[in-house]
Amino acid sequence: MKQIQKSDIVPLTPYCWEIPEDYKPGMRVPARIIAEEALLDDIIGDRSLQQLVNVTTLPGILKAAYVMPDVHEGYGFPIGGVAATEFPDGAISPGGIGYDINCGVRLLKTPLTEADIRDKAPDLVAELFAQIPSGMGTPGNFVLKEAEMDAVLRTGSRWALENGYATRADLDYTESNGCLPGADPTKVSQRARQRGKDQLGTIGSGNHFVEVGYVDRILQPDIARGYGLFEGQVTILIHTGSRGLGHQVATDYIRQMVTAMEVYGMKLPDRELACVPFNSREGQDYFAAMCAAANFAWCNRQLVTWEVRQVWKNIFGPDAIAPEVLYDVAHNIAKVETHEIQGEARKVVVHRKGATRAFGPWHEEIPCSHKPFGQAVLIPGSMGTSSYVLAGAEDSAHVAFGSCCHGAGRRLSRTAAKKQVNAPVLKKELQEAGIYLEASYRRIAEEAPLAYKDVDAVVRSVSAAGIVTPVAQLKPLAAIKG
Amino acid sequence: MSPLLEHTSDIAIQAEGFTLEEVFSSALRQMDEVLVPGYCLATEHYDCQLRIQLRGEDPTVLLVDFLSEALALSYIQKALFCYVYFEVISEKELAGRLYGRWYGKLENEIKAVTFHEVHLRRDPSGKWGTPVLFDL
Repeated sequence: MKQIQKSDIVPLTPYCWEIPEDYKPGMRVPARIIAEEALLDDIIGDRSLQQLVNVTTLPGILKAAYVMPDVHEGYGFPIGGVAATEFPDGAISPGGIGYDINCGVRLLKTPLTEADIRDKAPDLVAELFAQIPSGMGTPGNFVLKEAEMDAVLRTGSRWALENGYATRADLDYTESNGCLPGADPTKVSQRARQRGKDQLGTIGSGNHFVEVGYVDRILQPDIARGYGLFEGQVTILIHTGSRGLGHQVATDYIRQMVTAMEVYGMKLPDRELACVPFNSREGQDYFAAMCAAANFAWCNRQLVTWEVRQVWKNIFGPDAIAPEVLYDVAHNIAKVETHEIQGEARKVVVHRKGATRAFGPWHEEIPCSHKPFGQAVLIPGSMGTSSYVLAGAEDSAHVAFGSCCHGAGRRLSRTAAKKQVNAPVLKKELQEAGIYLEASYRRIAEEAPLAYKDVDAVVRSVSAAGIVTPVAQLKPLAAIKG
Repeated sequence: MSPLLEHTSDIAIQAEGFTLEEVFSSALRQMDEVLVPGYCLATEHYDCQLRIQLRGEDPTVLLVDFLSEALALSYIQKALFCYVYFEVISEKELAGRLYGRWYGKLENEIKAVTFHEVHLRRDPSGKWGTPVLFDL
């Protein structure tokens, strides 16, 4: 496929660009890019826009296929992509959700300030590393029996609540209360269950982490107050997903769909986009299994939260006030939602792969105390740079089906990053800047700030596009990586 | 060992060989090398063996299925399958044994073997080849 040039792209606004529907035969809708011009120039450099154009060929796709400013090349769909298909007979594509089903981010807030904990940051990160299993091959602290696995897959975070690992408030401040109702454990293969049975309460590998940080700047005081944030406040960011269970669910169903899509007469430019009609037997089976894997992921982030709270007590004493959940949001998921399309409210299947839901104020799915402000959107930066708390804006639903970016976005391959970064030096530099890391040198090099885009520019783009309001900027103090 | 192909977020390998047996074995070795660099190269004995039997619509699907199966078994058995002996291998089916060595910890997690741009075919010299992308 030919490289997309800037001349193929039409500006709709300074922060929204379009590849028109007539760019290539087979496109059913235009492809749109949310980004400021400087980021767009970067985006054109890899193959993410070709992948976005492929997404526009999905049967039943509506309005446009979108990418966020943190987009980068993926497989099938680009990472940072959003597509909505007609309900009930448009396509559902597991590749549009990704292998790490309900990979997501949770932010915890504490009553302590950066000054209160700075001296203890090295002990804190060492204890987090000791107590929270990370990397691959390290079993978790929870090994599930079959019946427990069924309950986790069916009820997600509710299982954690019923077993003493969560509070009611934790669930209230989790997207979908940590449980998708359509989950059917019988649609999850034995192999997926085997892969996941000892992985609850683990963060895994790659770019997953637990990061202790603090609120460096309040950008919107009213909303920050509404979210319970104040300057200097210590926060904890957790980034992980459904682990091997989710990876196997996606593998199982993409394989099924590679065969099944021919039966439904669906032909696509890349097998990784394999899809079937949402209301077909295969589509419904996948959706039920995806919901179960999403529930597993929410339960996983909840159990990591429980482990963080144990560490907190170990370091700050048994009477220390436990960190509270500000919000937990998925960035790899498909959901049936209602959106306005050409002036008409329509039910659609929204695929978000490396994109965060960002509903505006008063949306029914936002926790009560956040309703006046819009849904909290959590954007982790790269290791050593800022992260952001944003709030879904009024116009969000009209831009990209109420979706936002999910991070800074990778710009260098892992191999390229390893060639350019001296990990021991970087670790020392970060430590001198007051940022303590527990991770292998290999991981530090792969996840170095230069491997990622400028998160400030990414956030500026989604804010200027009318999707979100920036609320607070967080700075890291310590992190563990898998 | 073929060099890894460049990809922004993931890792791609080039699987190739003059027979299907060579291609599949080469892909397995390269996948193991991503999981724990050097581990299989240093292996002098195997701790376990598992039977494998698969059918696919074409050699591309069969290759992805084979790697996905070996990957899932690696995670479940906590063993790296460094060697495969094929009793049968054709464009649509294979049967054989995977030989593995237990590991303590993996260096990298491969979430999945993807179908992205994989297309196993012969070049004019008769050599089979395809890139295979792993989701990390």
